[in-house]
Amino acid sequence: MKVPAKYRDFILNYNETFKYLEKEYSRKQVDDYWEYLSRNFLKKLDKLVKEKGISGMYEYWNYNLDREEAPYKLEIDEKRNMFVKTMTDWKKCPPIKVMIDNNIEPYRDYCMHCPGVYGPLLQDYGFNFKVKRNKECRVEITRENN
Amino acid sequence: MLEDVVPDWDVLRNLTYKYVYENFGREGLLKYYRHMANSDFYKDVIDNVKKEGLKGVKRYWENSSADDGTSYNQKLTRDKYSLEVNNCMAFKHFRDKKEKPFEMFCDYCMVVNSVIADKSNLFYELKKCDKKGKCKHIFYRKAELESTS
Repeated sequence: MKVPAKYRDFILNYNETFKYLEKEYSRKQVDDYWEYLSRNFLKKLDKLVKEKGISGMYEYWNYNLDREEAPYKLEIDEKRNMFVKTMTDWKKCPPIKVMIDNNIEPYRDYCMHCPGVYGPLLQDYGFNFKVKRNKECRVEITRENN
Repeated sequence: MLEDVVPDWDVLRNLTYKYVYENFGREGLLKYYRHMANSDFYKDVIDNVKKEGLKGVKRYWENSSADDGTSYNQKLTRDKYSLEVNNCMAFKHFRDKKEKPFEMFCDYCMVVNSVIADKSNLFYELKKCDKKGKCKHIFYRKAELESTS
């Protein structure tokens, strides 16, 4: 798969930004930055979750992960009001792969940007965002009262 | 297609710069830009420009804008490389996504180009920038400047 220069550049910049904020300021600044993105960047996800709940999450990630050509599996458990997103091999998660291919060391908590960015917005709608990672990366998004 | 993700990333860059500015001020943002320009991310670019001089700058620009549809004119002579960008794609993405460009968004390119030039014994000048997607950049060989001054 050919990675566009702008996509590669952004991933490397994004990763470097996390390292910079922690080194120059603090780990809290990284969390605050992610929360800022959650409130300001995720307008499309915000609209979909507001209108469709977990089906909206499915629509959002199905479209985005497809665009990124990521190896993933999406599931909805209507009874448990749960959405599950599984990356079958976390090393093939598109940003991680770009860093591996470019010999760039990922920020030590790089994978935490996922709950860091998506978590606050989803929490506003009463959802919990949990990540379990071994070879695969499994994200479970459930209603807090489940 | 990964190309389809790029407009969102431009919006995210815009928000990132705005975030740094709002939290750490103008100097904090310029410090962040300088850090990025001096990071490993630009190491290969700078090594290449050190080796190839102005030709390396031309190659860097062609590589970084090759697949994004930017319209530009460039001219390379022995002593000068000029680049005129007619429609920076980031601004097209902002318009498409209804994102307000952050006022210091364009300063990123200026800082990165300055660092590349400084480290490669070149001189860089931002000739014009309308902060709406049109800009002109010139890199000079330092020897040329010395002989004309």
